[in-house]
Formats: sequence, C-alpha cells, structure tokens
Amino acid sequence: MKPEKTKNTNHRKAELIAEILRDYERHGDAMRYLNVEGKIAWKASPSMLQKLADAEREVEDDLEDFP
Amino acid sequence: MPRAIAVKISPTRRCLNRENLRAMPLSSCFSARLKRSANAVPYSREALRQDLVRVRIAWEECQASRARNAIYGYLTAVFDLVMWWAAEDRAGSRARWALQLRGVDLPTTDEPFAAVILCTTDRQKVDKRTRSKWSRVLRYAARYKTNAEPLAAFVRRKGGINKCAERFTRCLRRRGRN
Repeated sequence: MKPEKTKNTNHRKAELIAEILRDYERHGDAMRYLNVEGKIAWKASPSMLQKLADAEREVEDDLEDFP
Repeated sequence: MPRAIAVKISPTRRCLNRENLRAMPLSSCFSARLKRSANAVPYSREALRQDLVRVRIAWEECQASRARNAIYGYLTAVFDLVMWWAAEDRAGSRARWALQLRGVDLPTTDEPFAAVILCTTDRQKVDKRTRSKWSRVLRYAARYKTNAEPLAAFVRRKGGINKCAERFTRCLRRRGRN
C-alpha cells in the first residue's frame, strides 16, 4: 500500500498535467489523436510545431548576429 | 513542459527543435500519466473549435495544392478527428455539437464524418453527393483499416476513393439483406 502522501502527490501531478493539457488544447497548441495501439494520446498541433520552427529560426538568426 | 520529459539535445544544435519535439522520448511514468490524462481532460467548446479550425486549414491547403493526392491530407484530418471522438463513444454528439457551433441546421446529417465535412468545406465546392462519397470512404476505413496504416495508403491499396465508397455501399447492402 502506498503512503497517503505519495498518493496525494501523484493526484496533484495528474491534475496539473490535465490542467496543462486542457490549456494547450484550448489554445490550439496540443491535440488528441488515436495512436497505433488505438488509444487516445496527445501531440503538438501543426500550429505549435510551426511556432517552434519560427522561434528556432529566430534564435539561429540572433546567434548569427553574435559570433 | 514538465521536468519529467527527457529531451536529448544535439550538441551541434543547442535548441529544442521540431524534430526533437516529435521524437521526444517520454519517461515511462510520464507517458503513462499522459495516457491517463487523455480521459481526464474534458473536451471544451474552445477545443472543439480549434479542432475544426485545423481541419478547415487542411481543407484550404488541399484546395491550394495542385498535387493529385492533396485530398488525402484533408480526409486524414477529418478521419483522425472523428476516430478519437469515436474512441470516447462521442462521435455522434460531438458532430452535432460541431454543426451547432458552425450554425449549420441540418438535422438529416447525423453521420459524424459527413457532419465534419459539412462544417469544414465550402458548400459550393463539395455537394451532397461528394460529401456522401467521402463519408462512405471514411466509414469503410474506420471499419477495415488498422490503426498503424495511414489512411491514404489504405484507400490507395483498396483501389482509390471511388472504389472504397463502392465497397462500403456493398457492405451496407449486404448488411441490409442479412
């Protein structure tokens, strides 16, 4: 049997993750899909991947300015 | 993102890029928690709106493309969305919700694939017949495709869009007779 404190910590972590995912999904940054096992999973949305690509390019441009 | 994610960053590229994110290796504990969270996160109206926007973007990209197979990108977006709704046994209710959200008042459209197509395409370009054909293709794939096989590969393997629609119609007739 797990101690009560560990259980509560895990429960809080699960709640926090659910909250983060809900927020990401609401803003169109994360989406659900069916994985190859037929289970619902999460992934970054195409718009999130685009934002990351843009941010990456910006950082690379900035790095070029500071050799 | 939570600290539990172990991201291996290449020493030559010192930033988190798209490839890193796609191939992000999750710790088994975090991965399991994520799977459990899929059911724990309620699907909001805003999330539905974002999903429809993504499918609509796939439609616009398909329209802008001159590639012969561009339609598969759009059909895959519709298929993926309805399939995860169906995994939660909510395809019908969410499709009706989507119609309501888009202000479409067509009580006869109670088939989820057709409803999402109706919500995300231009009615001048996709008439009732085309919508019905695509919906039959997607229902055929929903029934016979494995999760691992991409939709486009499955439809091509089965002879293309028209053939899949015919096959599904035949299935329906057989079921009607039995």
